[in-house]
Amino acid sequence: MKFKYVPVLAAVLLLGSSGCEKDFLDTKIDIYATPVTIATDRATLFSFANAFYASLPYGFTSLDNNLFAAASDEAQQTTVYNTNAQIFNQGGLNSNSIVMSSGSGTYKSLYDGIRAANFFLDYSKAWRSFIALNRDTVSDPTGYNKDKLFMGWYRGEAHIARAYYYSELAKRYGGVHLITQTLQQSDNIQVAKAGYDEVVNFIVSEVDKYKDSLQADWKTSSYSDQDGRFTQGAALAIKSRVLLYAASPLHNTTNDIEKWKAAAAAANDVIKLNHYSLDASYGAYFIANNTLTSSETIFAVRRPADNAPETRNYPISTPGGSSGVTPSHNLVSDYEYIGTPDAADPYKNRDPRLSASIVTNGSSWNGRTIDESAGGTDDMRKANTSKTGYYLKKFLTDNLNLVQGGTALHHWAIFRYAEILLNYAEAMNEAYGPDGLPSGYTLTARQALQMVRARASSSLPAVTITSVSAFRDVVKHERRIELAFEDHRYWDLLRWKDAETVLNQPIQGVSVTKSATGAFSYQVFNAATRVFKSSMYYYPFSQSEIVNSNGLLVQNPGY
Amino acid sequence: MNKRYILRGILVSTVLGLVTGRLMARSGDGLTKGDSSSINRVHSEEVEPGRFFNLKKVNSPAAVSSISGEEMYKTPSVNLANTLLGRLPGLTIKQVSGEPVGTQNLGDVTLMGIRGRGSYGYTGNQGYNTYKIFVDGFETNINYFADLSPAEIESVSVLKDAAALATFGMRGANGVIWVITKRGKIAKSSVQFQTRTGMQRAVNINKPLGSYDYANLYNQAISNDNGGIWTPKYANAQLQAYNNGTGINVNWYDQVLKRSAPYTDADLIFSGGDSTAKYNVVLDYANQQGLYDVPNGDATSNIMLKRYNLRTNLDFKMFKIFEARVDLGGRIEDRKMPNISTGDLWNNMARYPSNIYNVKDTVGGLDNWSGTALYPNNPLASVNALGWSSRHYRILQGNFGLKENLSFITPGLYLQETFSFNSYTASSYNKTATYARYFNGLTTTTDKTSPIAAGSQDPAGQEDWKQAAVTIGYERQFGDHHLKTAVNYHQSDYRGDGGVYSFKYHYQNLSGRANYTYKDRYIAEFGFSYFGADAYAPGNQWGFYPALSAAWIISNESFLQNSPIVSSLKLRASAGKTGSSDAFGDQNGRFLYQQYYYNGSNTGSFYTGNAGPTYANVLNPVYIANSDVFAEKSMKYNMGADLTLLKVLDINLDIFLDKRSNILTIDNSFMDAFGYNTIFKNLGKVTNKGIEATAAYSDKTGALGYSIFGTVSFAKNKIDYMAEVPPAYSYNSYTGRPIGTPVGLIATGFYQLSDFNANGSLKSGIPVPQFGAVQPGDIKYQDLNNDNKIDQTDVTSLGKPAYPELTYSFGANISYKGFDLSTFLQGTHGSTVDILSGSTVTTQALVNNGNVYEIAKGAWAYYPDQGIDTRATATYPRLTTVGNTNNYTASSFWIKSGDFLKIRNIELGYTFATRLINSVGLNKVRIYINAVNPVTWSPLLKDYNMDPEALTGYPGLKSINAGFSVTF
Repeated sequence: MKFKYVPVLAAVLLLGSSGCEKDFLDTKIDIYATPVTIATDRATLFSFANAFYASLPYGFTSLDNNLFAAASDEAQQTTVYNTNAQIFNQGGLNSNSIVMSSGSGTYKSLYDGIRAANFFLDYSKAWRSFIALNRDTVSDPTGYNKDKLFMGWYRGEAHIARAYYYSELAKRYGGVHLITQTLQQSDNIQVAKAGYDEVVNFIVSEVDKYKDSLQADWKTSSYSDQDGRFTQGAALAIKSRVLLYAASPLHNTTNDIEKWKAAAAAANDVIKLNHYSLDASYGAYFIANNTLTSSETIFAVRRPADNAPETRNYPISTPGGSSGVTPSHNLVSDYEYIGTPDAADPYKNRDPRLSASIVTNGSSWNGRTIDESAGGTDDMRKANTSKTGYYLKKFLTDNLNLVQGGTALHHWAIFRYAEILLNYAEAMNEAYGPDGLPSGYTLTARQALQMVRARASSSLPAVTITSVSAFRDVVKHERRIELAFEDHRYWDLLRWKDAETVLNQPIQGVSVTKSATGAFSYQVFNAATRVFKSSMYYYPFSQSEIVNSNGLLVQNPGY
Repeated sequence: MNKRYILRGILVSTVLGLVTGRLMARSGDGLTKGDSSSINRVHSEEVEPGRFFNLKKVNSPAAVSSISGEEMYKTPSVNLANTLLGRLPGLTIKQVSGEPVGTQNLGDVTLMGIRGRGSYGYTGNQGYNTYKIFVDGFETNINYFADLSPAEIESVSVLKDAAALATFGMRGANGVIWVITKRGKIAKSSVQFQTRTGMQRAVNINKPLGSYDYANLYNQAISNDNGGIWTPKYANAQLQAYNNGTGINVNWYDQVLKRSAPYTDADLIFSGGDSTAKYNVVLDYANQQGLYDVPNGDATSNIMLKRYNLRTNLDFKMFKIFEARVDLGGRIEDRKMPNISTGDLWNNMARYPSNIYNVKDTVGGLDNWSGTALYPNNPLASVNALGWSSRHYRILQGNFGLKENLSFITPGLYLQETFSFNSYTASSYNKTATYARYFNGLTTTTDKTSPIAAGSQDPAGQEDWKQAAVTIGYERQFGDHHLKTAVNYHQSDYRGDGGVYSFKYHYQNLSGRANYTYKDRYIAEFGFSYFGADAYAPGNQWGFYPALSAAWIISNESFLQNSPIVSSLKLRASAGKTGSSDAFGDQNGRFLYQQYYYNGSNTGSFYTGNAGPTYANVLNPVYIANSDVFAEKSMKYNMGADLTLLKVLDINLDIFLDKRSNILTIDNSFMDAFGYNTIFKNLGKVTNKGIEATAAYSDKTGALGYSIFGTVSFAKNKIDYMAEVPPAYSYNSYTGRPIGTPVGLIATGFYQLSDFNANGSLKSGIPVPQFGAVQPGDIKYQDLNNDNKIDQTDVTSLGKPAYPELTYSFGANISYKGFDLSTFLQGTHGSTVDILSGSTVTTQALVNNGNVYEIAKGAWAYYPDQGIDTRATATYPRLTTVGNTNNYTASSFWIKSGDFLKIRNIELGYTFATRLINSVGLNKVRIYINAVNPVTWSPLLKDYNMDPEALTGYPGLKSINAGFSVTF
């Protein structure tokens, strides 16, 4: 029976050929980087150093894929496809609002950024040996030395990025969980949330500790292609804004003067750098690439050219436009006159920042004269035209051909020098009065304010009032005008505790009629009602976050 | 004997169901081996296909339903899955489209699901196609299966319970379709030729309204958008022109489609064998032409499939101890279609209004294809002026087996080695052209007319699947004890090479089963699988899956043995564990133990530099790796009874429970503050339970034979746990509801004029929708949480999921002398269709420059000066041209019943009397005509003119066919 052994042989052959291959079940094809591949690739360290920037809020997509302005009294959202602006406008903020989970600068995306920064800090601890991997550091040290330099900056930036994300969280939520290491699966959050002051102290200490390890200014360095990363100026600007907020009535209930002094000192630190100055042209500064080249910019988020802001905010009567965020008459009426008011044209002789920021009836925009009267090019009775009689102009490049896919650059300045001057004016006034000038300071509150006003127009009336409280109102007014649509207004109203007064006022618009002679006349009307509840001084944490925290996260009051 | 088998095949194919097969058998033909059953039944000679070895049906404790190839042949279709419709209890089938597969695979055209949905983890295609398919013992995929010809098939079985699935380990949780191809038998050589041809038509096409209705409704819509002020776009003269036929009025469906398209197939089958060699050779040809009215030539092509199948199954006996088998099943598929994607073409036909332009632009004596910037893709030009594209598939499954009879060691012992190679390559080739778009004598786009040009031949995918198995088996009878057992090692290497086709799937499976029968009354079976999959971390790849089952043949007990009433009765029960290594996600849930970083971010991107900023590479985790990730687990329990009464009534009943756990799910219990908190864990739980029942009654009076039969399959599931993001209110949740439950707002009617203040705002007390301002005629919703707002916290279940709870079929057969007549109906109950998301083009009238359908005629409108007032009768919200989030959001308004009942088959045949044809040298001749899918009853079809199985795109088909079969 010689065949007797054949089956046995066949079985052995089969099992031996592949079955007993130890790695038969190892089929993994890695299409992404793994811990192994990143450990042997120096470039990955630099990619991780970029990763913590990805959560920077890009103000053009903050709310309903548009400016955050529609949440405040600056503007009214036109499109019917919005739910988030309405949540703010109608006092609907609650722990189930989807506003917290969509758009730029939200809770989750900020914490994703914090994790990326924590990860980089943990991961790059051994950076010295890492950047020496696979290269000759002795005979050809150029690349190595450059990496060494960068790594020093990048580690500082990770601290600052994390501090910035916490400042954005604190602005919205007050106290939050302070997480300063890369959490592993096993250690889901086990500490209680930190108080607001604790978060502020953390931010300030991080800025103080790491500001000197940052690049002074990428733009003027020999690595200008890296511009867009944090700098000393940006770090100090974060501190300035954070301390200003911390000194404000919402967080400084006892009006502790020391807090204002700290805020003034922080703004002064930026001014003392003597590195930034106001741009010559207020209007042009926000357009296209000017934001990046101007010495007014302290920190800006860059994007390639697109036309999304124009698509969303051009008048609906411009092909491709959809009206979007339309400025309120409440805002328009706050622009000062620089000459005698003209009864026939209310938009004449106004602070030039009005025409730089807002499209008014009868002005030229998108290659036509805007005519919102009945039968005009932008007849307000047509669907999806402006609810207020105004259109957004700030940031937008005029006359892009949207149908043909025309594009322009849109960079979002997170910090610019004018804000620092206004931070300074506000804090100095509270700490030392409009004209106080303690030693170590070179500007009074009034002088700083005047710098901002003078840039806008030499014809603006001089600010002469002398009381602290009157000057306070002037600064508030100046911030409203100067920083319009830049995502300051809503938060300013909150920290001043003015929101309940201001954000319960109706949004006004103007209706336009044209006489037989072609002259326009304007009638102010209430375009929309607004509701602001006292609970809304802070965002609510989402319900799922509360549930998932197992009692460690206490909901903000009123929700 | 050989002829008898073929004869039997023909006989069986003349009537529906095994029932008639049995009827014929009982009528004295001596054909008792009726494994061609479409319905489970206890019949002593029937064989139940199973893994490693078949059992007599009566000896099986498992829940398996089977159908023969002959039975499947009754439905003419290029897609084998279509032939199973309604025939197998526990198998739910959905015919999504009748497209003769341009770029789609057949597996995506007809969907199959076994015993409802057991898991939300791996969703397959709409919850279907989650099972595994094995052909002749080796795993293949749905696309290999769907292109087999019924002539190649001996039987298809659905393995449903733990007993039947015991040996499948991580391949078993979602059921297995077990296919056996035809083999030669010891018999005289025979040749059979069968062919049929038919005309196929669309079951239903929901055509849009003509220009006159379109323009009238557009006027309403634009006026609604203008705040309810009558501002028509189309003036009366224009409307008049549309009405009297002088205006442009093009129905794109009528332009592109023809009424019917031919289908043909033919088989030539050689079969025979003796004690040393057996063979069965099948040659099959199928040709399905599409519905486009376009010639097949050098420059244009209908959508079509031509397929050539060849299968050779050979068995040899050598040297007493060896049995060898060689099976080669190959095919070539030629798929050809106009050079536009089927989806785009059908979407354009549905979306382009009737009045946009005439087919040809003849202004100025020109003869050019019309087209505009807004509607650039003239549907008729799309099939005539773009050329064609084709795909060419070559597929071969080769199985080789060697079995050694080891009776010289101990009687009944054998060893078997089998290998399988399954290889697939596809290439694409096309000839393309383009055309200039004209309107009013002017070109409107940048396209220029170009002559037809040949493209290059490109690879379109290649895969191969190498499998090997070794089995040691043992079967023996000792007195009253009968033991049948086998242990098997199986390994599978499935891979695709090159670029985007690159992947590898490996698994190893050591499994076995042992069936023990005592006195033909008591049966116990044990099965197991020790299964290793490559998806998991080394050291965590193997799982053990045991199953136990038992049966009791009560009718063999003395007290029932000679019962005049109970002809046979068997009770079955099984319990066991299976698994699934399939999961959702890009990589089918594989390698989640491995931490990966990708160049991208959850939150945004980063650019640097000051002149045209440059993108900065970033690295972020794809997810947070979890080294414990493992296969989904399924505990299956089944109880069944098979009963025959009075020898004419067969009843089968199965009750099952499937408890799923360890479903791979994102753990939403991690706080967002964790950062990048996407973590997969085995934590989901689902309970799925159901019933399958069949009944068949058959009898014979003189020359008249008749039977009726019916089957019902019911399955209902509930998500027990899925780590859902905590919902605001319990009624918002998915947990606790069936998988795929539609969730949305509850519509309560339309806003009326009286609901609004003079300034257009809603009166106080009426809940305010958070989707934007509403106006009269918009859909009103229920404010479930009474916060006076309509938002996402008011959503709740809107009814049953799209996957039907209940599928049923029934039919009847009559035979009289040579004639036979059969009918077969199939339907579903307990499902919904979301017509909003299912057919946006139809339901969102005029939005985004869209079209209007009959449904929009019921729109709410109030223009008293124009004599329009539908306030009281409206069945559709007010029209708009710009869209409306409030109306076009998931709500009960758009959820409709998906129930339907279709006549799937009616067939009339005649079999010539044996004595007549024997004289001319033939053994068997049968001619027949049949109608497939001739009638559909469905509320959705009645009310909205939509086929619930195929809402949009290439429609389902019905056909009338004629054919004949000759055996020499």
